[in-house]
Amino acid sequence: MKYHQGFTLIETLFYIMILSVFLSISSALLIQVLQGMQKTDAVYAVNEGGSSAMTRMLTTIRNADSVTLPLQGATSSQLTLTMPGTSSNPTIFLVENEVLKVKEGTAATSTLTAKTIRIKDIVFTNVAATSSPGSIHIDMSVSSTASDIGTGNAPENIFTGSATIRRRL
Amino acid sequence: MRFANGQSLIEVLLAVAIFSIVMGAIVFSFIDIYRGSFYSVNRTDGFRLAQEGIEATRAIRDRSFAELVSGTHGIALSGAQWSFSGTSDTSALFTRTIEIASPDVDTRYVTSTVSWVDGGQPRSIVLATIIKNWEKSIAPPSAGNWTNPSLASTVNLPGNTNALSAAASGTIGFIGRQSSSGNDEFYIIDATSSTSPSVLGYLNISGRVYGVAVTGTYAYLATSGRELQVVDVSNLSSPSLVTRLNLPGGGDGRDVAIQGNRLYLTRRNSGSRPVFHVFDISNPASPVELGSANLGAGEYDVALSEVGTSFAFIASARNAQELQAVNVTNPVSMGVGGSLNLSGNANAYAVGVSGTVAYLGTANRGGAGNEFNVVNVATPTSPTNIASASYQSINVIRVANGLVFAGMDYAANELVVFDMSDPNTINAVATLNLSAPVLGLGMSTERGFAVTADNSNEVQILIPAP
Repeated sequence: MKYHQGFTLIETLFYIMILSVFLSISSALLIQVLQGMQKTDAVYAVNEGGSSAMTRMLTTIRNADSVTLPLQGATSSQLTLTMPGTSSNPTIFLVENEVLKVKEGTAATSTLTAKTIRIKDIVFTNVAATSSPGSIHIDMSVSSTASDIGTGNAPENIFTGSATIRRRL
Repeated sequence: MRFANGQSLIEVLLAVAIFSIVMGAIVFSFIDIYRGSFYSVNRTDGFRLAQEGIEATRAIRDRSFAELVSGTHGIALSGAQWSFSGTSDTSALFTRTIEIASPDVDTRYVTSTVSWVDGGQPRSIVLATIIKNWEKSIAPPSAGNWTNPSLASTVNLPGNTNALSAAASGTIGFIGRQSSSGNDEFYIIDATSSTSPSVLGYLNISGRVYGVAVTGTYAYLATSGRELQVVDVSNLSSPSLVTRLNLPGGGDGRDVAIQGNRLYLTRRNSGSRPVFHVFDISNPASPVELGSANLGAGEYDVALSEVGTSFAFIASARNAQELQAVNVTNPVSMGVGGSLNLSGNANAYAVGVSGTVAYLGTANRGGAGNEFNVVNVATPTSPTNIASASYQSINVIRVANGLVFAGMDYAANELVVFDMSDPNTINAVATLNLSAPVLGLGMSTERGFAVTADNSNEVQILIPAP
């Protein structure tokens, strides 16, 4: 008569215990990793979206003829530039519903930032000296629309940039 | 008896260990990616801060180049303008410095450095640019002292015919001359080196060139045959004929004057045909005639006051009207609006105008006759002679460099310079004895081109005293 010797109760309990500890650790890790990935994505979106919007504004300022708004020494939440080309004159940057928009000439307003990010605040400062061409300093606060990832808050970043008009009329 | 053994504790522990090593590797690589993404965020922020440093320096340059002092600076917004402050500035984890070096008085090497610490690693971004004081106002070259001009050199043009007319632009002279077969009538001379001038270009005009005026890249010639010829002088080494106008009648073109978009042409008399024409040269290559008039005699030089355009002043062969003032406001109907009669029948050859004073030079009036006449034209309809002096036949008068230059036949002194700051007093401040009568004169602040009847020295280069 042959007997297959099964596990002892002790052994079984021990195995289950090890397995459950291991599973709980690994699943916690996995969740962390997944959240990390999400957060990386959100950080990336904020950084990329903010950077490209900032670059676009700075480039446009450099190519402008003059700054209409804000006035010299003043701040404004909207930037109005006089541009050399009639089709893009004037060019207006503004934030509507937390999205950065640009309006060139008589064309319809178009958006510059994706839905994955929110422009929480934008301030344009005209830092030009008297009888100098326009010089604009931009402060822009951007956060992710992915509201709450894990325990951390939505990633956000403050972008600053400055540009001075190149043309001289 | 066989027992199918279960896994031993050792085996399980080993399996768990291997698994956790694998998991650990995965987790760490994610952490690394995460960190990398933070580094890239910091890098873009740092880059923008460095760029802001350059832009701020540019804004400071636009305010005042003198503020770009060599050294290491931080930047700050004070009073809503950028200025240097301290030796660095910080924002969050970034430290920014602007370094300025001055290789020369109008150049700045600008280096904007942003540094920060990222996960224990020092990082930095360096942007560099060169900024120029490109808006520096440069004082125009000093005109030198034209009250004491001297002959620097002469140019012998090919052939043995007189040069008749000249215009100057900087150190370049545009010379018109008598026609001669096989030779050219229009010359461009570079007198940048006043002691060794050179002929840059020439053109065969097929006619005598009595008058030259240059504006932009075009020269306008008053010539015999076809009276007005337009030459493209954009390439000084190879001028090319753009167009030539044959006006009604056979009177040669005698002189051209340009003011704004208008060109004025005088001609020799030919019966009842017009002797004075006004052209619109807004398209410089193709003058459009606005009007013409017969003023009763052949006309020599024409000049306009720099302060107004309503009257042109003409030196005339008409014996009762040596100086004619023609209202050119409406070129379609022009006539002599005012005139001055000098005694005798000598023709007036030359005229120059400055403000409300005209200078009229005539042919030799013999004896004590006055060839150089100062005329008050404040009221152009009734010019009055306010001063006169005796020389010999005056062929050309130019108002330039605050002085009046007259080229004449006078054997001792073919070129006379007048300081006419008091129009009632004829004050000859300098005389130059050239080798032959001066027939034409082109003046700029740097050079004078006196063209003469000396066939070995047709063009004589004049320079002011330093």
